[in-house]
Amino acid sequence: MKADIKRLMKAGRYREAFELILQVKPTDAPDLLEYAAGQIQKLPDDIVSARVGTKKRLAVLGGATTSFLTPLIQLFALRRGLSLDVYESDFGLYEQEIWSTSPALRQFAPDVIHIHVSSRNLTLPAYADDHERHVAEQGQRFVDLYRAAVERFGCTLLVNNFETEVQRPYGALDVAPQTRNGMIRSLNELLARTLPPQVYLNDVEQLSAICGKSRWFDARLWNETKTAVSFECQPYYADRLAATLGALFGRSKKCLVLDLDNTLWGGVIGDDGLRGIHLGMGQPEGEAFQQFQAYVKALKDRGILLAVASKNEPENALSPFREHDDMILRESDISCFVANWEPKDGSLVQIAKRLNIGLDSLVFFDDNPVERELIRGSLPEVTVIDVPEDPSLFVQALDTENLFDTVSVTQEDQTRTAALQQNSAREDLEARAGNYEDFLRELGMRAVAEPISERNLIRVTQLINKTNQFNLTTQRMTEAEVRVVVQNPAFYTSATRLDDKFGSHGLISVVIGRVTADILTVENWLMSCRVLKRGVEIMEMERMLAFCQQQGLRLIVGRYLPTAKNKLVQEHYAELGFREAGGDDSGTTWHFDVDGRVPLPTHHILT
Amino acid sequence: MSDTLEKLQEVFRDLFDDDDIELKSDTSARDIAGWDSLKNVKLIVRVEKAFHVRFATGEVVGLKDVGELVTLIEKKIGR
Repeated sequence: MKADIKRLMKAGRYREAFELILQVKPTDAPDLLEYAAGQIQKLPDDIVSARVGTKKRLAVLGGATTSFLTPLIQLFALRRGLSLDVYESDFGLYEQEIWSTSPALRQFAPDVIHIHVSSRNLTLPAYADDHERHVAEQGQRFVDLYRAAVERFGCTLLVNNFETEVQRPYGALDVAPQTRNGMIRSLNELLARTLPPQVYLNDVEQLSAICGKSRWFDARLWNETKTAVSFECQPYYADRLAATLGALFGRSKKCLVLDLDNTLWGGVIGDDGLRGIHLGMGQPEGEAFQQFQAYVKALKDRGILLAVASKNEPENALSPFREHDDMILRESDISCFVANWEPKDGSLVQIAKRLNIGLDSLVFFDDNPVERELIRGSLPEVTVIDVPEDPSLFVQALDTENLFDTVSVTQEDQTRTAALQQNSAREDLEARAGNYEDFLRELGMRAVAEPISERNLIRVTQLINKTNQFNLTTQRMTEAEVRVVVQNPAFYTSATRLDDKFGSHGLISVVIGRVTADILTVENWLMSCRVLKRGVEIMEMERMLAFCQQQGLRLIVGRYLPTAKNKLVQEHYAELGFREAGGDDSGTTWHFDVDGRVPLPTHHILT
Repeated sequence: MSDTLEKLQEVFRDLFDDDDIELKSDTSARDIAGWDSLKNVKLIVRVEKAFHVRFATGEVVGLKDVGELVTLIEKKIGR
């Protein structure tokens, strides 16, 4: 692969070279990783931004040398959909940068600060009877620092917990809370419990254990260069961090697309029949498939959508879900089930469309290398898992990719699949109702609209960062930025929940506007595609108009900034009665007079 | 050119992504663009891998040119 990238780079075929660079993984050879990371700066900006749309600014403040690490973070962030500008502090200056409110760092205006600390930065003795005091002191030191960083730089923080160490001068007594490792364990627990808002933990303690503690720390590398993680383990550190960054900015994947035969069970259902397939206790292979299903089920339960793309007769494909006792996944767990004899790239396009998500939100898991190759070639946006031959390795193959990383789980995540099923009940009603207006009336929609507040901030931020289609400006914001808006009285904010007689949609619509003199400028207007064409946007407009009248404002200004994904709302302002007031390369501008002369369309939502 | 020097030249060419590098005994960091202290750490790791040797902490710090590195490698592989 390295030779291929080299050849393409030298021939100026950057687009193809970049596709290969995006496939590089932490398990690849160190010289390939180093080479690939080194090529990123040489790629033309437009090639990178055409493929990886989200650009963010990351500051890395080190308690150790970070020079070897940051190129790898940049490399792996790309495959998570993030192109990173990076600021690095000088070695060991992480505390000074924060406490001095470093002007250089302020000027850089980071979206995220990563504080790269390790156990080497802790002042803890080998053994202490007053271990609780030591732990409290160190905890205070870091919590104070992190809180100050959030306040002074107004951004999100991603910080490390601390890795327990290999050496055990107290031998078997190492498990006691009085030892250095004991205190490190207590400190990690303290941090996890008391982290200030907007600070997220990178679980280095767990990662170093997975990689192997004796490989994690390289004493010579530390003594010569003050680098805290060995060259061997740095790629895993970088990739894990990149995955969390991706999650912070809503770039995590949303849907796992599964094959069936030899992926969810052993054998071929069409040939072997219900009793012939391998699944469940008693057969080693059957247990492996069942473990994989249990892992997939856990993903679904925390909000990851599941889909099936199988070459099968639909009846055969569904029969294990309906009738096999050892199936952990049931039909109701699958949000979109495609079984036919067509090429699978078509099935994936169909799945993305039905679920209203982008192809870049799909992860494809199929035991057949030919299918994987087809998808890689024809749908490069889809993430394709290198599925191992042995089903016992399936869980690991999917889990170590960190594709579905999350920094919080909201109520909406846990009920997403159920919500999609309520949708099909709604679709039945739609089919029965005489016309669409009747349907909307019969739905019995009720909305609760309120300003953004601490109560809904996490879900609002999530929605701001992952909504692509019904999104007028696609302005992504961190939790910190949303909080700034909430606290500023010059902003109008609205966050709306919608229920109907089939169930709750949860929080689905967000509007943020800025008041200057007698004008309200809409900076964010976005809505979940689950509730398209329900009139929610008309209801939001009514609310906004009422606010403007009450405040004596004269004009509402809206902007539509086109992206690859938001063509849906191109006519949004026109449909609400705005008049076009100009446009440029970045988008169009729309005006609405608050004088009440332009009537709004009607809707059927009770508030 | 000795076998060691030739093999070392391959390591250099790959690391610095420059197939025109010609190593001589008196080649030093001044002669190769990008050979800074960070790159030197990577270089040492690559050399260890290529020659199946290990340098002790601080052992390579004082080396002044490629000739001295070759001597050290050959001493380690017992040539």
